[in-house]
Amino acid sequence: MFKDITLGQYMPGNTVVHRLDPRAKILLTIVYIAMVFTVSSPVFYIIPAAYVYISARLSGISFRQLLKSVKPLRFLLILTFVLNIFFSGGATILVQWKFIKISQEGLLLAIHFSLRLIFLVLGTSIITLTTSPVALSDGIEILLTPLKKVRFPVHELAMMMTIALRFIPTLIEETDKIMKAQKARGADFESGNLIARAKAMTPLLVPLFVSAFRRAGELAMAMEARCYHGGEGRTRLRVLRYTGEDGWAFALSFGMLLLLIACNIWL
Amino acid sequence: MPIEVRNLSHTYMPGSPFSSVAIHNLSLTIADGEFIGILGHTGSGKTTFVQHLNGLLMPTEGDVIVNGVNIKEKGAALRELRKQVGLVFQYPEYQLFEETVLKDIAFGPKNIGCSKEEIDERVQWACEQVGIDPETTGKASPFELSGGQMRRVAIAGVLAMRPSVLILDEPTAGLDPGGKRSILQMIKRLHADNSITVIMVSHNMDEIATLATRLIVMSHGELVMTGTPREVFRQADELKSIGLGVPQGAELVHRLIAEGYDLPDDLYTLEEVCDAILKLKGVGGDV
Repeated sequence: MFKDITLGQYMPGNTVVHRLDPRAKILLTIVYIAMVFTVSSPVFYIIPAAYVYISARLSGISFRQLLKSVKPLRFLLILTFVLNIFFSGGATILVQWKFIKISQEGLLLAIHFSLRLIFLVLGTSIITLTTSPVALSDGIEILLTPLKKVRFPVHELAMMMTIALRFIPTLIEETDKIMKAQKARGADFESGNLIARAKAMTPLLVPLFVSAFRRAGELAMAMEARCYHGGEGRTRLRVLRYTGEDGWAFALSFGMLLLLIACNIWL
Repeated sequence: MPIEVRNLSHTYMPGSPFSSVAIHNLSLTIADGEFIGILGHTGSGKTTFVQHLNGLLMPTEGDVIVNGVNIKEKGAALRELRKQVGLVFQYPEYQLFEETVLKDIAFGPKNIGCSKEEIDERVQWACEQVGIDPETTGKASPFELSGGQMRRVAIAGVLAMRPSVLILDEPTAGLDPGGKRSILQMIKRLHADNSITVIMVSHNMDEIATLATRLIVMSHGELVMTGTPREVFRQADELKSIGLGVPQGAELVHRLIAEGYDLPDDLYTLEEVCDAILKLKGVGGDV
């Protein structure tokens, strides 16, 4: 049952977007987020929309895959929409029924905030769809390097992220195995009320924790056996280099951000 | 508890780009009281196959009929099935979780709704079967035990369900020779004393040769050979071509035959090979 879960969303490929330097992609995502927050009126979402459309086309990601990333957010979206539409007040009343009032301003605000959420998720999921988790944590590590000056453990943090990501599939497999073993002993994980189900988790969680700690110990030992001693003087297998493609991506992104700012000011 | 498997196929993640066929069109029957050895290279589908026998996995195609009940049928009581068919996983010690050994062994009987007396009685019995002292080891935490003892406890946990079919998936993997021997002896005794059907997955030819009454050989998800150890082990070349081997005795005999010695080709235990060689040399049959 757990075998159907794919880790993260990464869809391997070899498109321009896939090839971009992970550092560039992280920075571009920040530019994109800035873009979404600068939008001053719902109409201008056309620019982030165009941006998402272009990147999706370039990376070969289907519209359906993108929508899938918004799906978990549907309740939050509905909540945002409802709260904004009813509680933001405003002068121009469109509908009034007893104490419920819907104003034009409220409606606009509701649309505005819902679109903001949707576009935030759409744009940021492009990076997770096209970048492998390892490349991402590599990128984060390098981008955060300046923080080493203030003794922030950048390398350790990135290593922890990489290891955590690496072990998710392993632990899922392990969970599946232990679950089956306990089921073979008549354990029931599927029926009963909430308390009964929570209790039924003990035979699953205890062995899982035991094995996670055992694995952690073994991994630490194996890393030490290969003389791992933190980030000091460590070189990389894959050296990140900016290419012309990254330059074009930056130009496009900043261009669109400027266009948006111009729209906000003059339209 | 006769088991009948008809045209069983199993595909993991069907319809996705990751789909892989683990078992393809496998049919066989297992009668009461047999000791079946399932042989196969890694990834041959042995583990996937045995997980069908107690309904942990459902066939993608085909049927598994245990004691006349098709496991696919809606309302087929899976709990009843799992009570009857005990499955000991590979490295079963990783499934221990309770505070004490006795409590862990009691987990199964408790789940199937036994009374307190019945649970105690079963736990005592299971301890006895696997050679665990309920007074000392029984009160210890399962995490304090040695690997071999943990494995005994885990097997006891399945035995306490009182299954009429016991499946063991590589029960000796990762144990030292002493631990292996005592686990195998224990399994042999279980089969002999309690008239239960035992199905043992292994890729150690020597240990399976002395125990099984019938062998099932799988390769790439398909059944390639079945028969008594004698019938299977004489086909040494076929076994080797699918990445398996034969017991040391059979290996020796086949090499001697290749050298031109006149020996029967269906010997496999060390004793009978010894006898045959001595006879060939003109020395008496006694060793």
